[in-house]
Amino acid sequence: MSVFIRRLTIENFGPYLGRHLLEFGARPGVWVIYGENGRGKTSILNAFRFALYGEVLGRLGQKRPQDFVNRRHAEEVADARFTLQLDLEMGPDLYQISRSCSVSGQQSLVVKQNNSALSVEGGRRELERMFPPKLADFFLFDGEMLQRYEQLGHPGSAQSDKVRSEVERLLGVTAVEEAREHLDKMQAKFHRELQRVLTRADTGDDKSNMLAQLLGQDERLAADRELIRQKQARNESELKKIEQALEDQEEAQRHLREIESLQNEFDNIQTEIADLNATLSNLAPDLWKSIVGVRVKEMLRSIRSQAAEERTRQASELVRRAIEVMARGVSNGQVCPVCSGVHWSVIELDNAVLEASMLADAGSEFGSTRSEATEDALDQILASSKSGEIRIIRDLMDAKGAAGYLIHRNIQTANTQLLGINREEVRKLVSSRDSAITLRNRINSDLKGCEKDLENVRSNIDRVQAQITEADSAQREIGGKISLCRQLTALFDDAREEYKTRTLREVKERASSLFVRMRAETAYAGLTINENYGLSIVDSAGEVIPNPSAGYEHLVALSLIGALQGIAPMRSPVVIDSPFHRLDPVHTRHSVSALPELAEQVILLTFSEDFNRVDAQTGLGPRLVDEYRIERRSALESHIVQGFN
Amino acid sequence: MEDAVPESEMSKMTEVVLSVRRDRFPDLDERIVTMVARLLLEQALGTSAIGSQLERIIDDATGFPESASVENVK
Repeated sequence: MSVFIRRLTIENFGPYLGRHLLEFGARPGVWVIYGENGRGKTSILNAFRFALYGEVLGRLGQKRPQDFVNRRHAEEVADARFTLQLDLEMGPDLYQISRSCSVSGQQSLVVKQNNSALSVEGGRRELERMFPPKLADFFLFDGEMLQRYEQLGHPGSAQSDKVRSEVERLLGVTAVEEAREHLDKMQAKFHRELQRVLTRADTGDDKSNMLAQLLGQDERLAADRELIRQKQARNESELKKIEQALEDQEEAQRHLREIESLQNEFDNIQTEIADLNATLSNLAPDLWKSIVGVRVKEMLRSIRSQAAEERTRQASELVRRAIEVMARGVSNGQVCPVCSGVHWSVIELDNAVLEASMLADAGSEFGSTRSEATEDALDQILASSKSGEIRIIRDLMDAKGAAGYLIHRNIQTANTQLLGINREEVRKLVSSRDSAITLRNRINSDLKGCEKDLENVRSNIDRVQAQITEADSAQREIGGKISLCRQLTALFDDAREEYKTRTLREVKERASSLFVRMRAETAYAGLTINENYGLSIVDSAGEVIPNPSAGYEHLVALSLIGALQGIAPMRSPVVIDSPFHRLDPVHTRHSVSALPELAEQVILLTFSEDFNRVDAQTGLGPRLVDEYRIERRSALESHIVQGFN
Repeated sequence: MEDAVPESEMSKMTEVVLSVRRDRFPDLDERIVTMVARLLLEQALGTSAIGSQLERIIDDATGFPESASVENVK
């Protein structure tokens, strides 16, 4: 079954002064509304949103609806109000939703079915059936708020759990679960009947007594389970209230999470700096060595230089002495240094040379030894000074300090965003939500245990019942009903799992097929899905592509919308603002041709740069039903015009 | 089965229920399962509530009239 939007009537909402009509034939196709920036495209998306859900969204979260009463209208009329009317068609039924809000914030809602007004509660129920609020993002898609879609599909997050349960409801999984519950209750009812029959008959045989006992156990366990379920329902209701309250504080929560994360980062840095300081303290006994290290090196160089000078001086002395001895010999006339005549005392000369040589060697050795010993000592000092290590630690501390400073500044900036917000209240809500989620896990575990016990008892009931051969007709009759209920319950248990599996597979296949139609990067082979209906891009080997671009995240979100619409028992229209905002011309062209597959009725809010009219007409062909354009009359006033003639 | 619910009216979930019956519960009467599955489909689309209808189907299926309900047993 499909829901179609027949008409949207906007009256004094946002930039739209007076009454404006957007007609959409109740038939499949694509409608395009063109408007340059600031003319009121997002106001039209919000008009749909307010009509369906009574809320208005800005880029940073919810806004006050009363602020959307047209300003000129508000200046002219006391207690002015805007009114939005949505005419829908579902099968043979026509629905008219009329919702308004005054400048004082007073809202009203009237839902008519085939011209008969429904009760407020009845009207809300019908609306929720056609457009489940938790899936609002899948009917009203804002291409500029992609982060809302990125949060989905991460198992464990409150948002994704909510979406999963709603998607399963939309796709009919919940109905199968409910049927199983009905069968279970019926079985319990038949058990009670059988117990009464056995009590009345009072045959006294062992099997009947055992059966009666088992039925008693069954009743007690069923009662326990009911209590656990009531507890579960109370907790879920509490959790829902908390989450609703937190939805209004979405921005505050985001900033608080950011501050918390930054604070953790800051604390980690502080710890690291403290650790580095401790390491420095351990190195403190040797710190002086590092400090005098440079000086010591200078001294070493100086000593080496002195040693070299000493060796040169000793060598010079050797030569000088040798020359002196030779000169003395010559002057004494004892020897001829050329012919080595007898006049010259060779022994004396040899001794002089030897002595000089020894002196020189001693001087050289002394200098060398002294230098080496000094070098060794100084090298040891330098080695133990750990100056390199100390320098690295100092550099690290400087870097950490700078990072800490930046984080501290970011914390201050985030804090300014929370001015006027009662942080304690938000923290309390977050803490309550966490507690409720913990309690939910415990209750679920208790429920599972109880259901297991119940299943065991029921198996025993079946077994004992089969052993009773002398049952009267009333026992046989109820036994037959119990048996049928048991089999149907087991069948629906299996069907539920099978349906979930098939649904996931079908969502994946449809989304993947849509994605492949829209993508230009052939290395991106398709999509994979997790149990929360979160989609990821995969390559041809099935490996997930990490961190795809914003443009591709956009395509993945569109693919999920199309897949859900394609398999839901109830098909609804999709309104998309900035549909191709993040896409290049090639991807835009691909996406345009896939648009009719996203939903039966698609309404686009775009501008000429984002979506060229000629491309629209070429890409969509006859599936393009109609075009509107938004014209600006003044800074505060826009008009909706049909067509371009 | 063809007389009970035309295939064209079957939703996917009904088809799943019936295929599970064929594969894993062949002894269960297909007609009964179809009736229960149809009831489900109507309930999912909000056009019917399961409530007493399910009990009636089970009463009929086990060959006992509704008079065999708890009130009469008492």
